[in-house]
Amino acid sequence: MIDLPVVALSRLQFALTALYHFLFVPLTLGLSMNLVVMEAVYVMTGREIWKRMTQFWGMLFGINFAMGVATGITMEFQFGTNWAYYSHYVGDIFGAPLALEGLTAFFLESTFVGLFFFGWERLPRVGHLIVTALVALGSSLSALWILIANAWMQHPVGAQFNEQTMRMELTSFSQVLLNPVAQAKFVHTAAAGYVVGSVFVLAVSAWYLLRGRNVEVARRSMAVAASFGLACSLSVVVLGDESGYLASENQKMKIAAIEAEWHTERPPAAFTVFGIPDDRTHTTHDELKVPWLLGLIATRSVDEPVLGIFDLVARARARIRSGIEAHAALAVLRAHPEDAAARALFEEHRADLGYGLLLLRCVGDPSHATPGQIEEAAWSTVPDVAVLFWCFRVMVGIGLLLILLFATAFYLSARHQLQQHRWFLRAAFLALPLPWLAAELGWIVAEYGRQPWAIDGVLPTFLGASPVPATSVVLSLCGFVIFYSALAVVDVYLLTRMIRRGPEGLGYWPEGDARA
Amino acid sequence: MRAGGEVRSGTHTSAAPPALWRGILRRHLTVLLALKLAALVLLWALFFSPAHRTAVDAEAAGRQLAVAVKGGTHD
Repeated sequence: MIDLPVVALSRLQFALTALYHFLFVPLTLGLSMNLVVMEAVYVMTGREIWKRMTQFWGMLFGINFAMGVATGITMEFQFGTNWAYYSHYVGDIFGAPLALEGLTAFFLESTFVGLFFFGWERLPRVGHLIVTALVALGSSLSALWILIANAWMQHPVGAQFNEQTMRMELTSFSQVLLNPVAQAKFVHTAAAGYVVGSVFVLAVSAWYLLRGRNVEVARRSMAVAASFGLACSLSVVVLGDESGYLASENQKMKIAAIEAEWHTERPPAAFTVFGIPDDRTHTTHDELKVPWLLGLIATRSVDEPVLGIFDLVARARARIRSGIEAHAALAVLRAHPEDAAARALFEEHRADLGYGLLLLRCVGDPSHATPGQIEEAAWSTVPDVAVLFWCFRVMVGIGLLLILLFATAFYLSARHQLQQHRWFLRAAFLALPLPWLAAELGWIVAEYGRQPWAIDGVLPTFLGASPVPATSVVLSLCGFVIFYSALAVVDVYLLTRMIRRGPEGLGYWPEGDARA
Repeated sequence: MRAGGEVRSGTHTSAAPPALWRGILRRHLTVLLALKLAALVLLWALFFSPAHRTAVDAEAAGRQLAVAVKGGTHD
């Protein structure tokens, strides 16, 4: 029997480590790109201040890199121990991009990080710029491989279940690699990381300008962050829309839950700007709707419906019944691989096996499931609507605020009026935590919205977990919380300390503009 | 006290020269990386080493998915 509290604890542990890990990652991604822009200006203009800026922000990048490096490895620990069935079932596919991430991106990034810091006096200008670009490329490549693996969990392609080995086996690596969900997720997530880096540069520079310190470095840094950040924040919206459009094709339930779309509306569906979704009564109270908007965003048409949760549950019900047939045929095939009738039945219902497995949560043998249990399993395909609804809206709201922030910074920077608008400098400084919050909420929407599936439509999450003792998971969870909290505190402490010293205190640039 | 009285037991006065600050940061990061590695190894050894893992093969996966092979079950 599946130990559901252990499954919940293992999920909590994985979620917390992923969220902690993602505090470090987007800053590394974003700062590395800002460094490339700053150093490119230095190479093109030959002005020393741009080199010193790159070195100063590079030092902050180095602190975050040192604190964040290898924080993702704890998730790989968990795959082997807490998620042994998951690892067996899909490890052949899921493991490949993770291994490639280590072999290509991580080594590329780590090697060139060393050259970035110690190569300033040893490499020609262009050579060092290439090194910086390779550090940024390594960071982004790392994100690409991880998101290829993650996208496969959202939209499993290029693999087939082998009933003898009881695992998914790779049939087309190119399909896994070129998974459209992976492409959309990568550009959306990477652009969000670039926004985090840009807001960091913008906020720290605003703090300097408010105090009248490091004015020349801060002004130029703000100009870079504002222009790069504006381009990236606009990209996040466009690329997020693409990601949502793909989800509306491949993960209809996730979209319906995000939109609290309980019933299918006549197309084009309205977008609920505000509402209070109630998961118990399956209704949304106090809705404020914008006509047509959801239909246009989700289907890019005026005549295609966005399926509601009730209709999708009805589909799940039908697929569960088909999955029961697949499960029964699989049981026969496991004992008698040559049984042609069982083979034919299995092939007919193969695509719905995962839905049949959902029943194992409440019954030992799916073929003995009662109509009530089938109904319960069908409704288990609905993720937590209220959580998704609000996480998505707060994320989008922050995204729009950041576009406004970057656009204002760009305008004021272009008119050399940043220092005259202290209200804006204060707003830019206070905006510092917002992109992290949006990024974490984005992860919650993507991963919590995938539930109840570990692999969408293939493997329910509860079947992927190992029967490890609950005390072991609780203790390791406490260990991770202490470990990651300590890292985050030290990271913030070191960054704050170095920012307070500033470029002049660290000898990167003197006060005033003597050498600009 | 060391470094001409400017740095005390790893803490710094505001008069500490910039190069010294950067050197100290480098040392701090090296120590922190070593501590982090040690913490990761400890967590792995305590909770995630092979001794803590469930061995899963086709049979175990079959039992988990309630399709374990039983002698003559379908006859």
